[in-house]
Amino acid sequence: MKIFAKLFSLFFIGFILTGCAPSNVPLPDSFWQDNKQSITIVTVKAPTPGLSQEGMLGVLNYAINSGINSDLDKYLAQADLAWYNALPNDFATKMRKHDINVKIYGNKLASSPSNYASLKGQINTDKVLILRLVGYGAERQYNGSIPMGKPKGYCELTGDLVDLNTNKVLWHYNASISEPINGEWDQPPAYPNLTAAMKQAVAVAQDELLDSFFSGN
Amino acid sequence: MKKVYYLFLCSMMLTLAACTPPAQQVMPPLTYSNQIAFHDSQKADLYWQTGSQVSSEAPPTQDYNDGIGGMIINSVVNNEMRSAHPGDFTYTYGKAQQAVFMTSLKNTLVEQHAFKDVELITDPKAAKPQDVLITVNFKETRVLGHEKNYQIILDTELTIKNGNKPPFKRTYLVESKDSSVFSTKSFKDQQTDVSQQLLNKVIAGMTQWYTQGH
Repeated sequence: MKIFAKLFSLFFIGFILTGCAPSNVPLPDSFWQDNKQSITIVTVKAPTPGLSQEGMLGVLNYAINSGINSDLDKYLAQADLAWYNALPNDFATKMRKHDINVKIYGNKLASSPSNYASLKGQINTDKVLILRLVGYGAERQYNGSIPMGKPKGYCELTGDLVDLNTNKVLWHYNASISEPINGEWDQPPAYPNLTAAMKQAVAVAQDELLDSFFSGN
Repeated sequence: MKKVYYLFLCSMMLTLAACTPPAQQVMPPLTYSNQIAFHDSQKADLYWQTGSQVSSEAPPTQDYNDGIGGMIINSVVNNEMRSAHPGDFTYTYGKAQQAVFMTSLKNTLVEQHAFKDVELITDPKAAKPQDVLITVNFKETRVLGHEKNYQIILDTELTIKNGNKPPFKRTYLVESKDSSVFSTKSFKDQQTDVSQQLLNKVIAGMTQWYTQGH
């Protein structure tokens, strides 16, 4: 009975915390009044694009579904990421129009930094803009091993502007975009309709990230 | 004591599950409480563009205590209700909401004499060369799922064209606040919140256009 009570409490706390993802932080207007600031843009190494399985499914279901979708996974793993490599330039071009001194850090971070103090020693800058591709490819809802509808094109990007002198996050935005597929989706080997939905998800995610940062400026 | 504890946890879960705001509501007209800091002698034509709209649907309700037969009946009833009244289950920031926003913007500009005259137009070619053409493009409107209490995100672009001068452009990304799982904010309130933010930003953008030499 005690074990049941503990498990029930843990489940309830977990249920509550699943709604507690970090909120977006809008960039304050005062940021644009500083004409002498310099920012370094860094990107985090991208994950391998793939199929994200969502919904009610256990470990065995993941394994079964992965086996069934192996051709799709192989296709998604080769998805073009040139747009992600160009994203720092998109930000830098717009920042320079606002007379912000911008540099792009040449190396990709292996993972999101858990400690901003170590990042200051590594990059030697006052403010850092961290761009991260959280997920890219397709997502599909499952109930066990039963797919609940067609997959969707999927792209999730985050951006964080951090003041490394104070470790304060000045701006945070998460763009998690799912785009429906028009027409048939299961079209190996090139999956043209799915690819079009993925490109649309990327376009919307990039637009939201840029528009959130430069909103009103 | 244990029974009280279990009852409390169960009631909290039921309360949270019941906190789904109804979908089919459109926000009331917006108001602008500040003073607009400019008065232009030209007429303004307001034009509005609609982009992509991403909606969310309310999840199907299911009572697992009814047994398999009950679950099948509930599923059939749910599907029938959704087919007959799709608006009651679909959360969107669509043309109805955008129409309220544009009308509110027009009324605010008229009441505060921001321009000599303000007219909502449906074709940008109808704008005369001597008029100021103000375009609000709702590039993307997105309503997140029930786990985010149907939070609304608007990605919009304001363009102001005045004669042969280069167009003034600003983008605004606004999102409704208070998207936590505990939120009791109605969907109508979410629409009002995000629309009010956008109205304030668009008018600030117009003020910026005017002070930069319009």
